[in-house]
Amino acid sequence: MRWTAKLLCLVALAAMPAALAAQTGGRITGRVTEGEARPLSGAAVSVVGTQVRTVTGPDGQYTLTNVPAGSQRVRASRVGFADQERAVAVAAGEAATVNFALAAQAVQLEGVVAVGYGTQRRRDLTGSVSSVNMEAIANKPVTSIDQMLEGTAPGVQVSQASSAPGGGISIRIRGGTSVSESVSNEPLYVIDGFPIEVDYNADNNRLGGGRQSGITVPTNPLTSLNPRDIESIEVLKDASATAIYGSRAANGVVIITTKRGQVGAPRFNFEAYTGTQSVAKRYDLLDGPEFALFANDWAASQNLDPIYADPGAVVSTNWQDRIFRSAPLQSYQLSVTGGTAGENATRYAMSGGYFDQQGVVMGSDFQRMSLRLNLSQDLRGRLRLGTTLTGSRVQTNFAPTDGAVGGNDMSSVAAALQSIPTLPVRRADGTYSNMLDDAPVALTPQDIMNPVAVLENMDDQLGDTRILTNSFAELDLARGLRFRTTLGANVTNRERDTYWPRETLRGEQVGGQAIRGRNETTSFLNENTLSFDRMFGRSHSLNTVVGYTRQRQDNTSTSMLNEGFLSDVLDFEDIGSGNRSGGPIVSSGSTRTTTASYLGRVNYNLLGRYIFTATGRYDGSSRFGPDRKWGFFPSGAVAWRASDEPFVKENAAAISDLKLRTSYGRTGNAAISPYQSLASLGGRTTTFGGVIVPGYRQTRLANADLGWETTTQLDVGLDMGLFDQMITLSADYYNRHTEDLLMQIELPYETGFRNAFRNAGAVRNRGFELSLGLHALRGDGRQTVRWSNNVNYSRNRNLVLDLGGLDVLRVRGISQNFNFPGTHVRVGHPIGVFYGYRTDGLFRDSAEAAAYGATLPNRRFQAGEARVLDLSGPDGTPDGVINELDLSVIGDPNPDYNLGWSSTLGWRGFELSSLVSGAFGADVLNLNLIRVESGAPSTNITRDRFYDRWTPENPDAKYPRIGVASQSIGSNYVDTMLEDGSYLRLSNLTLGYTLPSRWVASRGLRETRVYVTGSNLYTWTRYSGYNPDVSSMGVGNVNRGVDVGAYPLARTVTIGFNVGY
Amino acid sequence: MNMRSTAAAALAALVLGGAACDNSDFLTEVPEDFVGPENFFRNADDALAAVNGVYAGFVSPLNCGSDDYYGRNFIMLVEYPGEAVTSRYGATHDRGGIDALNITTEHPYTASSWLCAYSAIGSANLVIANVPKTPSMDVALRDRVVAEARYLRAIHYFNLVRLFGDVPLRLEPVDPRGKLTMPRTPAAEVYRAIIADLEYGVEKLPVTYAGVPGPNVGRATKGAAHALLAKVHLQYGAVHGGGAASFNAAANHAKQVIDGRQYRLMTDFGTVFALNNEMNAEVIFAVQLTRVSGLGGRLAQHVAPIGSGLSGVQPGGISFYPEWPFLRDWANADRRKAATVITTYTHPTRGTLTWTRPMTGTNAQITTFLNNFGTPGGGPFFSKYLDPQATTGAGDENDIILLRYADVLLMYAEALNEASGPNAEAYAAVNAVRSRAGLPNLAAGLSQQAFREAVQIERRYELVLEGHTYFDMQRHWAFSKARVERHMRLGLPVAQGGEGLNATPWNNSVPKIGLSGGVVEEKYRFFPVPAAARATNPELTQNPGW
Repeated sequence: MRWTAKLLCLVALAAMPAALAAQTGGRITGRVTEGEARPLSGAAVSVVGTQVRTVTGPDGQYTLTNVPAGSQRVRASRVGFADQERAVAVAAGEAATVNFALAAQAVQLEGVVAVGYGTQRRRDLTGSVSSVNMEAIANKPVTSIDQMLEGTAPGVQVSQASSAPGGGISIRIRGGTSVSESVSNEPLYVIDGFPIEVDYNADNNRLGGGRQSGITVPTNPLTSLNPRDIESIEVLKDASATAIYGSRAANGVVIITTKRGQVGAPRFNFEAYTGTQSVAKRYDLLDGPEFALFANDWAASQNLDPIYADPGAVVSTNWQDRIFRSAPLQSYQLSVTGGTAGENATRYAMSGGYFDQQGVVMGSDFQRMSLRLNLSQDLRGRLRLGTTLTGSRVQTNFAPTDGAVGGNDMSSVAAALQSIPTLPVRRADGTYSNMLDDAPVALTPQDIMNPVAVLENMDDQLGDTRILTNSFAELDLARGLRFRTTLGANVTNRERDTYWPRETLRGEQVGGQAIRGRNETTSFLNENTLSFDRMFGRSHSLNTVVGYTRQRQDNTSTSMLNEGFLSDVLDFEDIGSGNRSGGPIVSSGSTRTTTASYLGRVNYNLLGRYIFTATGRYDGSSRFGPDRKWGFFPSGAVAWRASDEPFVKENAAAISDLKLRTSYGRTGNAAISPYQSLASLGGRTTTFGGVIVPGYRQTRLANADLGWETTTQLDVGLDMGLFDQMITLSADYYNRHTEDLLMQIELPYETGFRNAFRNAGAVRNRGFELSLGLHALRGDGRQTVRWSNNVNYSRNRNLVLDLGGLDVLRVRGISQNFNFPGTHVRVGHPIGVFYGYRTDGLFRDSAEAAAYGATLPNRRFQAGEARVLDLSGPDGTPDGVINELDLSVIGDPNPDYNLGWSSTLGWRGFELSSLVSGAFGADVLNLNLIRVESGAPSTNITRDRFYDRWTPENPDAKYPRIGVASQSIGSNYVDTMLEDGSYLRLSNLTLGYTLPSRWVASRGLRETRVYVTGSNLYTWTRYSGYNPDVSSMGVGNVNRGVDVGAYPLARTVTIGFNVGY
Repeated sequence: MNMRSTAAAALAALVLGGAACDNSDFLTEVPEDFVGPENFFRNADDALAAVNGVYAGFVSPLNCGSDDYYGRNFIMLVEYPGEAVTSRYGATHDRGGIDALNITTEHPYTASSWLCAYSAIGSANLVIANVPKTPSMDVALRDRVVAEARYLRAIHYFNLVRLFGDVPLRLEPVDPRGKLTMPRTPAAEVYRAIIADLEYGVEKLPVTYAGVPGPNVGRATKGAAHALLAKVHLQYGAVHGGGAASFNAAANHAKQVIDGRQYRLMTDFGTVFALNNEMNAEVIFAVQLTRVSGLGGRLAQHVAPIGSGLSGVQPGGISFYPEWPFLRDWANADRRKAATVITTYTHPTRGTLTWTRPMTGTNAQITTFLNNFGTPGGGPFFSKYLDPQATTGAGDENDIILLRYADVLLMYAEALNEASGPNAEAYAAVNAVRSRAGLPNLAAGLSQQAFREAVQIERRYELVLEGHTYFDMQRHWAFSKARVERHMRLGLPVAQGGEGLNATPWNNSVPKIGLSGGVVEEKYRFFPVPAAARATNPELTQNPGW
């Protein structure tokens, strides 16, 4: 493939002579207003067919410089208004004046959207790109950027890895493709032109932390961004849109652009909000006296003496109350933007923000401090220099949640659910109680640490310091031809410090355990692009970009672990004072990843109606094997703007916009850890006569062919507007076929190796997306009611087609504590299905149980037990015995479809906006039930479990008899542990009031607004746990949809104001 | 055209075009926090570290669990099939199944032994291929390191060919771009490769490491190569029809060890295994283990009585128990009995611990004895591999002795006898071993067969639990099979050829009873090619009968 490099090399060189054309130009000035009088700030004004453009200031004024002489068309556009174009004659060295009066229009279609390495008008797009409606978000408190994506873009599934403050999120654009837990399917984030990958492996290995070992909770690059700094978010979904990002684009691309300066006097904006959060939903568990009754019932069923002599006189601890709290959050943000006009214009935007969120679980909190500067300078109208600088510091305190209890699993939430209520938090002498020592022995209590003790004493801190900067120089070489070069750096310092005190099982066994980890990542990026944007005549328009980029990322990490501390008071701070048997564990590592790419895109518009796009990227990555260093990722797309056809305009006046588009192309997923293609030797000491000597041996086989996962995607889409855009509709069908999956393949034993990363297998995602806008009442003034709605619907069907010859991949077990196997990846099923026993209700009485045609391996079923279905046997037919042959696929964690509905209702200065989002048809494996619906009092159980238990008098009970656990058989789960995770959530409801402009202006202010917002106010679901949108086992595609001790969802009420001057 | 545009265009051309022309260095991965074959093997230290890595291949080799191979499972595969050692598990258990010769092709211990041996062979191949290319290294040292690696490779191939018969023979590092699967190589060819490796060792390995900068205790020596060659030829001769040539070669190599006078019998049998006397004059080659977690042995926990605390933190008593009839038939006058099987133990800190159980007795006594299997303190137990000071299950001190002088003497006697019947030298060799055990000389004038059987019985008592049993059985299959079958039938009524020791626990607890009515199936002369290995390499065929 080297010839391709040479070819691009030549193309780039051949393009140069065009740059040598000399040019001179004139100026255009003017004013943009709403209607006839009100100045419109922030309107984009551009010379059609050139890159000459600017933005209006607060007075609506603009100046375009360096406009090529001749007859030009100038366009003014602003979100919420219809575009306008006017013709003007420009003479070299002279100024022309063009004023615009825009009409309000609640339509997104006319905006300009960021696409990779450039922008395009939405009407010219051939690919599938969803824009987040920033206007709708601008007026409500948004604590993190993932909230902006939730429910607003079809095909984008946002889920919480943990609901903890600063907890990880996971985004899937059009479904997951990878079957390995360590291969990321998170989209590529491009923040101000800087591509940032979410790496599942980057820092989990060496940084300890409070979560169960091995669970993937990647660095979330979004947590360090201040949502208020965001100008726009675009989600690129189909191959035509994403192929420009080549080998990293298969999971979709999220382009985030931060706010820029605007010409005009300094505009200050101050925003503050404060709120309170509470746990939205709890488990309804037995209180002390009820538990005592339960324990006594159980004892009777086991022929034991009553455990509590006087059930009415026991302690009653509500453990959930003891670890949950109502928690405040607050945010302050000050920003200033401004700039000078003219040939040497300067524009700036600066902001500082502080965000502080306490978590609803005691001991958890999150703080973010961010500073941002966007600066750009024009030089003689032809050269622009600019820089973006963002610095942030994020400090997270984690409470141990999301996981089971026991061993290394330490979820305080699981512990609170399971701790029995007759146990006091503290003993009479003030020391912490624990189940094993203080619960009645006859209960055979679980070995669960006291969750209050853990939360009050354990320390688990994560700090991220990030500096992201990207500077550019942009030179107009000739009419429509522009060269741009950027130099960027992304520096992240991450530290994780954890101390397991003696109140935890883990700390108790070793006399306290301290872990300190440091991880530094430095990424440098250089991008050079040459773009050409010009109209030829009235019927041909060409918009092209070619470029070359290089990126290098270095990562170093260190960690240390020590145990055996004299006391817990020093925390992790004096890690050297520990006295671990065998000495402290110290490790360090270093990796480097490089990428070099050639990219190009041609967008050709014929007659304004027929649009053709060809995009490609030729990517070389150090992570690929020596024989597969370079990959080519092409795509092509065609769009037809039918509404611009004369016969449509004449015959179907109701159709204000109609575009049909289709695209096809190939992208890659390069989420491989570095060096996986190389052989490695690992240290292995040995001894000679008791003397330890160093040894080395090969630990990994080279794979020169290791490469990316390849996704080929077809997209067919339709964009339509009716009745002057009162109704808008956008629909897409896609078919994504992913092959060369990064899989651990078993090697022949004779190689001496068990397995290796290979490219094998295939997965398909097919789906449909619909976005419907209803701008029923547009309110063309401020006297009437405005009402607009947007509804999103998306469905995705995931199917494993091939696993490199295997039928099933078994995934890492879900929990050490419960010893449950992981989900399955099976050919013919979606990724990560649940596999277990099916049941069909309970046996109502002994006769029914006796008549049942199947038995357990060692006994018959009894009345009040679950009827486990006998599905198969050794010869494929039911054999009368319930054993592993009867296991089957019992559930799927992938939703059937996702819904989002946002609505804005306005009247005068008042605005009521809401967001309802939901996912339907996903199954959740609620592992908490194995304890809270257990039939034995070794842990607490739910009221429902107790009061609706089977007894001879209650044969139609929902739950089995006391003494019977029906959630598992051996180490396999039963479908009663699966729950329907469908939900519909009122994610956001905001009532805002914008103060009358006269009143505001008289006090020297600009726009001023007050609001009150509720988040997660209500969730309609049948799910019994805290939150059906849960994934305690990390964000990989496998072991998704598992709830085990997960952090509960918080309901938040916030009030705030926003003042500009 | 003005100067600025020209300059800008030139700059653009430079950045865009110029950069396009070389990315290969930029994209080449250079490992920073690990070493690969490319940035290793630069000097003698690297070469030594690599061969040390091969020595580490006995316990917890790469891709193997700590219980695999010499951690536990390989020793179990070799010891349980004989009549001396039982796991006391039922015949459907992984361990009881070996004991009762009732396993399937899916047996995990055969699979892990296959994998682990090849893992160690892979490490050796890497050394053998790369060390000769190491620059700036003393040629003699280079040859020695290669000879060590070839010696170790020979051990692992010898284990494979003995367990499974024909096995794939790979003598080069795996070429990941080449074909990874390969068919089984005929056993004769595998033996030829083993012999070639060992003959290289005879040539290049030092007689001792005295004066060589170390640490070197436990490295392969010339004597170790001779001793192993004796074993290899003996096995090939008896199992694969090598005939007199093999037996003569075996006798010759054994004699080289004897005449070399580097090794001798310890006066007191017990001191051979003393933890403070490892690598004593009797030991020719041993897997080096030390009482450090991850670097130690794992067998102690399997010999210590349940609940004894004699294996550190582990409960002990998990897997190795002497079989009752074996004990009954073992003369108390044999000093090795008291040194191998003990009922009391003097603990360094806890004083004398006692597990008194009858070693001879009536059926009722046997019942009592067997009833105590599985309960704290039950039964006599092996003292070989015991380490009361081990603090973890993965860290006992015992070296695993692979070759010792007594074994060489018995091999010498066996080889001479197989070649041409018992002669005076053969008698002298056996009698040296018997004399140390406090036993009278072997009766003179034995037939070749009687002498053969006498040597085999001697080997059982002398070398029990040291990883030879099954391989000894293979050489004298009919004789050994009959002994095992007799043990299997002990519980049967006298009318059915048993001894009527039909106490219930006998049937339940001592799975030597076998599922096939006390008959050892012929296919057990080799273990099956593991199904797991065949699943990853479809070219592998199966042994007869499996």
